[in-house]
Amino acid sequence: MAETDILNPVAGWWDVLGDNPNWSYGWTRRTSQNKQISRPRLGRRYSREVLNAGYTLALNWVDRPWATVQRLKTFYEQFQGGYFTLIDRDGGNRHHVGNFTSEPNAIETANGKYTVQGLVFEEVPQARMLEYPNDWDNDSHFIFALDDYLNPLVATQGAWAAQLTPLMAGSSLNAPSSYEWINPAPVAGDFAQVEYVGWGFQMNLRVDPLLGLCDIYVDGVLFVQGLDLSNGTAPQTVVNGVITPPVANGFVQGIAMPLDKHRVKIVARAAKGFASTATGVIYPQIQVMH
Amino acid sequence: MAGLPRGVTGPMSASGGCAPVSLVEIRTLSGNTYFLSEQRGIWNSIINGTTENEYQDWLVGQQQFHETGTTATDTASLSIQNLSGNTVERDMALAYAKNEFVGAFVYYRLWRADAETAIFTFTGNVTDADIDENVMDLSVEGFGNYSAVKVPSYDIDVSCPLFFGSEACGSTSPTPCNQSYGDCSSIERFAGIVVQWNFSNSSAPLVQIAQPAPAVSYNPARAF
Repeated sequence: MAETDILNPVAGWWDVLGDNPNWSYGWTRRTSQNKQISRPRLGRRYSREVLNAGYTLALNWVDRPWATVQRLKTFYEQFQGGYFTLIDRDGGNRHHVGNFTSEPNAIETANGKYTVQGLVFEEVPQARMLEYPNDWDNDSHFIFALDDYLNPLVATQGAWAAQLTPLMAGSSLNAPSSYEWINPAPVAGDFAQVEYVGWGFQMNLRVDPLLGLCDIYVDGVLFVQGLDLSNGTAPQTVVNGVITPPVANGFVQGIAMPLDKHRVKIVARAAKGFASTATGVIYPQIQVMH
Repeated sequence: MAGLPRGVTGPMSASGGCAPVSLVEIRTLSGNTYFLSEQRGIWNSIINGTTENEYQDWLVGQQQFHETGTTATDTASLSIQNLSGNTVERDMALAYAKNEFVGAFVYYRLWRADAETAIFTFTGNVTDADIDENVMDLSVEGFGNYSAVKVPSYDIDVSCPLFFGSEACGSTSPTPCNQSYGDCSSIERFAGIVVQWNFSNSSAPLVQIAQPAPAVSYNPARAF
């Protein structure tokens, strides 16, 4: 059953296996390169995300019993076209979903002892997880309104403008700010949308009386409905059985999102909220899980 | 590329951000529409006019387009994986068996998902479907394919294009005609059209006008 099949369900000795199912030291954890990078001869580097690959782990099991080799072989065959869960016990218990993409070739090193070296586990996109990555302090990065060369990182429709610390920027957990996209008097349907490759996201939206109502869509599906930027609240949203908890302080978070190319869209309603004196909308930044 | 708003073009010049994806709609002659992309997603359909359609992530490799900019035909080739499916039948092979792909209508968009805008479009017809166990390659010819227009090589008009008294005309009358049906003396070989549409109101014509009947009549039972 995919994500509920865990290769190493325990951190230490496992009686069921008669071994510790975790891999030995000396393994490699490789971060994926999803970007196409090009650099003109006298220019700067340009990049674009073109793939949605995850982490790749090259794992070793050294001097293990035959049962461990059999378990690796079973997982290899069972999940050729699917995926299972692997838990990085030393890496903050982070879950990875994927499958073995190389064969578990065992070498018998002594009587009843086997070694499997360089068994490659590759993470797969669009796969459910038992526990989605949620270490925001260490495993995430920001996508701001503009890149470091002041080019827009956000696609917009409507009269949006990038302002350095917008005048009407109210409180935010990230204040003071850098550039942010602002649409002070939107037409209903005006949007700012960003794409990224990764897992979940969180946003600290501005809360100010000059801001009005907006909706947030994730991957084209309504995620937060009627977010009131005058007081930073939104009621609980239920779309297709997926529940987004109530929003407070303008803080929006989506964690249960598998690895993929995601897009997050703020759509202006051009309507005032509870304490609004105007209908503006601000796209400040987004923090995405990598 | 003129006319795209800055909200769309802005992120194109930035470093970082995501690449656009292909959205391909294929409407076969039997009326099935296939939605294909490099990434599974819900997008609108141009062909069906519907807002929520699931595009399968079945496009593989590089999709190629050749735009000539002249009356020479634009061409494209699309590659679709033929590996997914159940243990017996593959998805694309099954679709290929059930549908006639040659002649299918193709609408391609290079889609900027963040701006929800197509930055390149291509429309045409499938001219060849080459399928093997791994991949189906579709060859597409763009609209504006003049070599595929099947018409006779003379003017189609209410005036007869034949030279009076020529072998093709066959008239032996001493009186030359004015190329109209009304004074044709060889009506069995009249090569103009005998009805026309009224375009006088500069809109889609609804009124059909017959040309005046000729002075001579044609008796097909009589040898001539």
